[in-house]
Amino acid sequence: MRIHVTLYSEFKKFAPGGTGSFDLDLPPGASLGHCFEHLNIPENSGYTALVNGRRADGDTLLREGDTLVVFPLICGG
Amino acid sequence: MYGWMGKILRVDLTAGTCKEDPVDPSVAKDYIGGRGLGIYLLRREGDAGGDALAPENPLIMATGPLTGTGAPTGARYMVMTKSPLTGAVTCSNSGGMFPTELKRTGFDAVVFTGRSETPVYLWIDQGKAELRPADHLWGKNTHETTDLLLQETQANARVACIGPAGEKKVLFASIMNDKHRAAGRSGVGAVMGSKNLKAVVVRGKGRIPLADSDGFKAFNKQILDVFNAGVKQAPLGLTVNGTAGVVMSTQNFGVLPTKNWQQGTFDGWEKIHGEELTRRFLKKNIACYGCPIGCGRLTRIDDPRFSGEGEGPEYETIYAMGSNCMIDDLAAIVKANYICNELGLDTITMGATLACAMELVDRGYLPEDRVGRPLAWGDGDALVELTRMTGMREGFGDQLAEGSYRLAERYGHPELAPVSKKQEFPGYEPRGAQAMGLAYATSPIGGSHMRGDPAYFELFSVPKPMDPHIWEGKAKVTAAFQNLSAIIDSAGLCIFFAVRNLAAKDLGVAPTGVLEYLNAATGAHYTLEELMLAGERIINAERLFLADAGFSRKDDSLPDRLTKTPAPTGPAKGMVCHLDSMLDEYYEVRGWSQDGIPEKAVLEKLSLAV
Repeated sequence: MRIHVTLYSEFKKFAPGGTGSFDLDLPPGASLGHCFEHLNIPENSGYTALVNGRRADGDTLLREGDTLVVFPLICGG
Repeated sequence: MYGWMGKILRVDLTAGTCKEDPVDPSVAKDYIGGRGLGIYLLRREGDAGGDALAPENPLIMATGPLTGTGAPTGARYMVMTKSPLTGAVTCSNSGGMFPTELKRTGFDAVVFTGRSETPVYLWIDQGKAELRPADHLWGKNTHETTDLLLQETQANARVACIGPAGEKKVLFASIMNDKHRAAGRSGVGAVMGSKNLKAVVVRGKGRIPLADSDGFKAFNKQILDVFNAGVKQAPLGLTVNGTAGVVMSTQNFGVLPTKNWQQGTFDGWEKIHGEELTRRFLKKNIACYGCPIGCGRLTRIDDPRFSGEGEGPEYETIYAMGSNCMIDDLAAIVKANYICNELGLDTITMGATLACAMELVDRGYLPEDRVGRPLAWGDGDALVELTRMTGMREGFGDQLAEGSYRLAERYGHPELAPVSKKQEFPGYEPRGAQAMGLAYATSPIGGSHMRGDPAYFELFSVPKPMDPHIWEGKAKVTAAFQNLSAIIDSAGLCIFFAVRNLAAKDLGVAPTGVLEYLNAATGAHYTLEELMLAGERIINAERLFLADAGFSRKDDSLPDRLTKTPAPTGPAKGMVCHLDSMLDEYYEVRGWSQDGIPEKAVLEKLSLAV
């Protein structure tokens, strides 16, 4: 299956080809954890991951056409 | 007393006199200090139903028992008064260096009443207070005023003052301290201006006595060791990009208020977010007294159109003046922020009011000839020019100076004002962050994120994430955060450090770390239950002030565009904010009637029953 990934800030360095926004092919049934493994993003790296705009964690299952956004934990206001 | 200085300075501006009163230790314990002490004094001495700009309205500046103690971020003070913008209570908070210096003059609080016949400033030098003429300062901006006052008092003194906006009673005028720090919200600067009080200058070298100095130091080391170990692993986003880094989060959650709150996503967000601010404008980080974070930004504009150097902008300023006005011109936003600081204006209400004016023009309700210039979405030059005109009440700026509600009402469309209790919202869209809507509606000061900030659990995952789209079960957590906020504000701490590092790591957010600090500082032997009751007491005391001023459920409201019009874009597309359902649950959690009035049982529990 194919998903669209956008990596921001320090997560950009994990993007294949160095561009932060790209399509990614994963085996059907892959989770966010599998996706991170594929991209070599450490699971404990302090991230916010949104799948189709909803917060996701390592167990979240991905589906064809999903949009994944990853950015650092941010706080303030 | 320990932690507290034990004295209140009373300044009668009509009589031109200063006198000292002792602080009652039981009041200090029950209300903690800062915001809590402020509402205690305001309820006793103010008139909830009175005119906010009348001489009788007290203006209270209060520090907390942890202000200036060396507790991390113990740098805050609170300005309490009745607001001319909302007609409700306000508590506007600021950090920097002034609050610590104020406390070290020997006073926990200064209470101003009356009105001076001519402009004056208050000079407190090591506990000795006097009113001095300020005719020569009237009309000066906050930077000029600060420089002149440091020349005529002491170079190492600290200054809080108003600019022309406060003098001209702009309804959202701020009180600026240390030039760049703002007690920004609800028009506290207009109240100061109405009293003909231009500035407060303080020089204090007094020691702040601690009950258990060794215990305090040991706990401080323990907290800072954990904090510093975390920072070593990964630098804090707040340190790297300041609060401006939040733009990335709110945009991707679909809650970045855009086009006067019509939508929650902004195509130009990457041009105004924190990384861009750091790359293009940041000179260095600025920290308040005793702060290990340093989220303040000293910035400089090198742009052919604008120039200047100053502090900011914060996230809230960037949302209000940026996405909300569809402006992606960051130089213009930075410049307008500087103008707000120099003239003494709240950046949130300024930006939100301008966005409302843009929509009124866009829909044909406000003719551009009334504005005196074109006013289209995205016009950064208009932002800069109209911000200056607002601070000076020049031309159309005189109408903007009344805030968005009165502006929209004047042109027949109050529903376009992004307000609760007539105060403009900070930058989190409640259709995609439901509890934020509840927090805005129930904040005692009107639209505010600092009196209990659900963005922490809805967006930032602190201490744990909660789905921002659900509304069931949000009331209890929001109330817990509001109580925690009251404790932090009253202790003299900053919410940025305390919520993460000094509260329990569950959504009950019990103030465990604040408790340790307070007991070591004050020796008041708070139990956790007593401290949590103090937070609840402060919230209820504020609510009683509101009830006395005529506020009830009808005022715990949001505009229809957030509760009836589905979000048109982003992850929250199709959603509305379910305020009514959350309010029912919230009043029950609080022990208030379904009309939002505290019931006898909760008042008795909190020793607030008459």
